[in-house]
Parts: sequence; C-alpha cells; structure tokens
Amino acid sequence: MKPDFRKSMIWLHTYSGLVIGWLLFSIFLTGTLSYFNPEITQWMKPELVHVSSTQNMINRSLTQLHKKGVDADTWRIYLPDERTQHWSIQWHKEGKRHNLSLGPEQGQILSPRESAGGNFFRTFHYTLQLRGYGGLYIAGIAAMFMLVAVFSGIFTHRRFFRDFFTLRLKKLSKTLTEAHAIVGVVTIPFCIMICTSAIMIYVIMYMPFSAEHYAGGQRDLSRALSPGLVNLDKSASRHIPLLDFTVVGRQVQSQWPGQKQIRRITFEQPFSQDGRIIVERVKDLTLSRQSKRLIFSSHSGEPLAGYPNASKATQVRRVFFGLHEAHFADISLRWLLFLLGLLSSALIATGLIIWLNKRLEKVKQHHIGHFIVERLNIAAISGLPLAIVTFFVGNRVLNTALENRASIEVDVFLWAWLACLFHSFLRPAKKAWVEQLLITSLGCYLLPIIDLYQDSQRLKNAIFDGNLTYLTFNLFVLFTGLIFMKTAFWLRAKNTLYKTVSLRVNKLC
Amino acid sequence: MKHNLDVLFRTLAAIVGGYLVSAAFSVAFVPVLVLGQICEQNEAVMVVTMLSYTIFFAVIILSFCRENVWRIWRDIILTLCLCWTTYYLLGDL
Repeated sequence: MKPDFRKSMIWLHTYSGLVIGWLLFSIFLTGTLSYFNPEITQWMKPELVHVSSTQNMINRSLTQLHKKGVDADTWRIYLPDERTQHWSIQWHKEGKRHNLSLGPEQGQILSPRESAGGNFFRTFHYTLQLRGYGGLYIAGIAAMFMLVAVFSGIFTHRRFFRDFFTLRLKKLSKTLTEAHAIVGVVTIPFCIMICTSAIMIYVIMYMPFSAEHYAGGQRDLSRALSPGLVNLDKSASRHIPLLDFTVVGRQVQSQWPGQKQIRRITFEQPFSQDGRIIVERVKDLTLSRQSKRLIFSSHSGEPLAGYPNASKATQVRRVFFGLHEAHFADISLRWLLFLLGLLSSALIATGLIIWLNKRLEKVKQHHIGHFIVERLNIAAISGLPLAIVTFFVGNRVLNTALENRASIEVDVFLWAWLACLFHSFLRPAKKAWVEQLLITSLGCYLLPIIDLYQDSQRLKNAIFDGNLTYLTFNLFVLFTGLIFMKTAFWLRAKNTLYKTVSLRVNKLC
Repeated sequence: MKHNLDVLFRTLAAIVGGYLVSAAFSVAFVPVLVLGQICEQNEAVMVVTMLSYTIFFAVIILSFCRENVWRIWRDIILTLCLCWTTYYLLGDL
C-alpha cells in the first residue's frame, strides 16, 4: 500500500468512488427529486384540483366514510396542505383497502389517473425496485461507501482554500477536477448528514445481532422502545362513530393553536365501543419523523390516554429519519436542500468522469475496463435523466384507462434506461454523450407542449388559481432542458475543436 | 501481484473485519451501559448499535492507511477477543 496517510486516502477515494459511483449517482438524483415528492405527484395527477380552501373538509370526509365504510376496521382522512392538493379518504374492510379522492364540490369524487407519482423516486432511491431482493441493503452499503469517499476526499486537497477559489474553464479535464473540488467542499456537510441519517433509518436491520440477542428481534425492540396504544377489542359492543368532528376539533385547536394543524386522522375500529381517533399533527413543526398525536374516543370524542413516551434513543433515531426526509423544511430551505442534492449528484458524476479522463490521458490503447467505465458513465449520468424525462412523458402519453398504469410507468422508466445503456455501447462515446443529452433536453421541451396540446385548461387554471406547483414544475423542466442543451452543444464544440487541433498536429508531423 | 494481494486483504479487513468488529461491539457493550446504569437494556441495544457504525467506519479507514496489512488483521482479532471477554465477564449479569 501507499506509504503515507494522504496517498492512501487518495487511493481509497478513487476506488471507493469508482466501485459504486453509478449506483450512488442514481440514488442521489432520485433521492433529490423526492424532496419534491408531493409536488411531483401533484403534477403527475393533473385531475387533482385546488381543494385546500374548501370549508369543513373533515366533516365532509366523515359523511363519505359513513356512507361507504360501514363496519370497516379503519378509516383514514388525509387532508391537503400547501404542498399537495390531494384530499383523500381510505377505509380498510375485510383485509381490503379502498381509496377515494375528494373534490371541492359537495359530495364530489375525483378520479385522478393511476400514476406512480413522485413516490416512485422515493421508493426507487432506497429500494432500487429490488424490495425483497436486498435493495435496502444495497442502498445501505452505498451510503457507507459514500461516507468513506467523502471522508477520504477531504484529504485529497493539499491546498484546501486555494482549490476552493480556482475554476479554469479552458480545458475539460481541468474544469471538471476543479468543479469537483469546489462542489465537494460545499456539499461535505450535506453528504455526511444524508448518508449518516440514511444508515440510521435502518440501523437495526443492517446490524441486527444485538437486537436479536437481547430483545428478540427488531420488532420486539421497537415495541419495547416506543410502545404503541393498547390493542383494541373487536368484539366490544357496537357504536356509531362521530358524525360531527367539531367536538374533537375544538380540543385539538386548544392543544395545537393555529390554522391547518392536522395532517391525518385515523379511526381505529370506528364502530366499536373502544374505537379511537388518532389525530396527527402536520410534520413541518418538528425535526422528528413522528409528529405529535392526540387520541380521542371514536363515538363520544372524549380525549383518551395518549401514546406512552418513546425512549431517548428512539427519539434520536426519529430525528435522523426526519432530517433525511426534511418534512420540516419550508419552501426556501427545501429548494436549498434540493440544490445541495443536485450538487452532490454532480459531484459524483464529475468524479466518475475525472477517473476515466485521467486514465485515458495516460494510455494510448483503450483497456476493456476503460471501455466499460466509459459506457456506464454515459448510461448513468446522461441516461438516468433521460429515463426520468421519459417517465414524465409516459405519464402524459399513456392512456389513462390502462390497467396497472402505475407499474407500466415504472416499466417505461426502466426500459428507457436500458435503451440508454445499449445506445451507449453501440455509439462512439463522444457522440453518445451529445445524443443522449440532446434527447433529454428535447424531452424536457416536449413536456409542457404535450400538456398544452392535451388540455390547455390546465395552464389557464394554474395561472388563475395561483397553482405555483404546476407553474414551477413546468418552468423548471424548461430550464433543465436548456441546461442539457447548452451542455450538449458545449461538449460538441469541445469535441470538434479537439479533432481539428489533433488533425493539424498530425499534418505537421 | 503482491500489490493486488495487499489490496485484497485490506479490502477484506475493511469490509468483513469491520463488520465483524462492529457487530461484536454492538453485542458486547450493551452490558457495559446497563451496568454503568447509563440506560436500561433495550435502550442500550439501540445506542450501542448506532455507535457501532462509527467503529465500522474507523476500521475501514484504518485498514487502508496502516502500513502493514498483517498488523490490521492482528488488531481486528485482538478487538474481537476484547469484545468476547467483555461479554463473557459482564454479559450474563
């Protein structure tokens, strides 16, 4: 091994980054998108209209539930907030789950298109569509690798400050290395926070021995550390649940002053004597993942004993979880985190390209390893954005009456990505880059146009209702398209410049 | 060839050795917290498991920056023995 600490850290940085860089890039990019999970879902289901100013939402949900969910085991009411216009009710009956989305008119039921929504990115970024096949473990390993790469990356700088203030744009490899250094310094705290909290979410699952030895497994441990409510007796005598929520609403208001404090209301065994209502507070007031909860009786509305306090260790873990999900972040902080996520993805991408460029400069003959790294770089860095854009296009183009539409959308994403992989193997590298980037930008421009073509009312409604989510999404997509196009043209110009220079050199020789 | 073997043993020390050491730590140090009356057992399990990742991280970094690869393995085995002794002495209390 290398004799001194710095050199061995550089080696570690190079290879820990390379081995898992493509995976990390995919995880970081999709994870970054899921900062705007509800907003993306909102865009992907344009049938969800503006409901958040509707009056008396809880009682209207209750009326619907009384009609549809007689003798159900649970009722749930999801209330809309500033980030999402999704107002829905859910009931479980005989092991089956039923959902309904409600609209602003009295008794109106919306039927939004079936779509994977923004949640696809969230699930993909920690399961990689491999839930049950070790996807969660792969994501955890990736987080550990990233921590190692970030830590060892700090030591690759000999002149920390000078590196931070240097960016030369003349030569591609210089630009990339210096950009990598700058972005690296900026995102150190973010990357450490994200990777540590990612590991902490599944802390017991990745290291189960202690829990198994002392507590008899993960479930028993979490039950002991954060005890739930008492089990309900199903056979207790029958009672009709509340029709008017005001009794409970008044008590909630005195505990949690302010407007729109409730995020979700759950009725457990609503038709039983001991049925209860769990009222959950919105999440943007706490760092923890678990927001405050209040318990009431489901037929009289009297307050019941609340959840027992969770242990300190569990609370710490929940704060890690909350930090990772960032429900606390208001809109400006959310954009900042989003930007940091994008920068971290760019950090990984530039790192991968630098690894290859440095080696290609030194060797005359392409090694098979170089070839594979080059293709995987293309397929990951320009292929993933392309697949994401295709996913969005698919959401608009696919027939809304299709069966299993949500999973078809996911298939579209995966096939598009696979196509990018093939494309990168079939084309010369430099052309593959430019082509994929151009197609991505084309897709970005296409999205708002498709939307206008399908239903120009959407844009009008968005402007008149002040639907910022819809407008920002479209503007951002256009902006992304512009950036991708600029990058593609810049790359092409570099390539032709390089070619003419080398031709001249050849002639001179 | 020698370099490749060196890297292989270091990588194994980092990944396998690191995981073993942190797993052993997560089991062995629960009784220490309980006997020190710092927290009760279930909470100690959570605390020590969370801390064990820092041990994992430290082992990874150490396995790549120590000069002699055999010393790394020696230290991993010594740490495992230490964990086992701690558990043996305190575990059944």
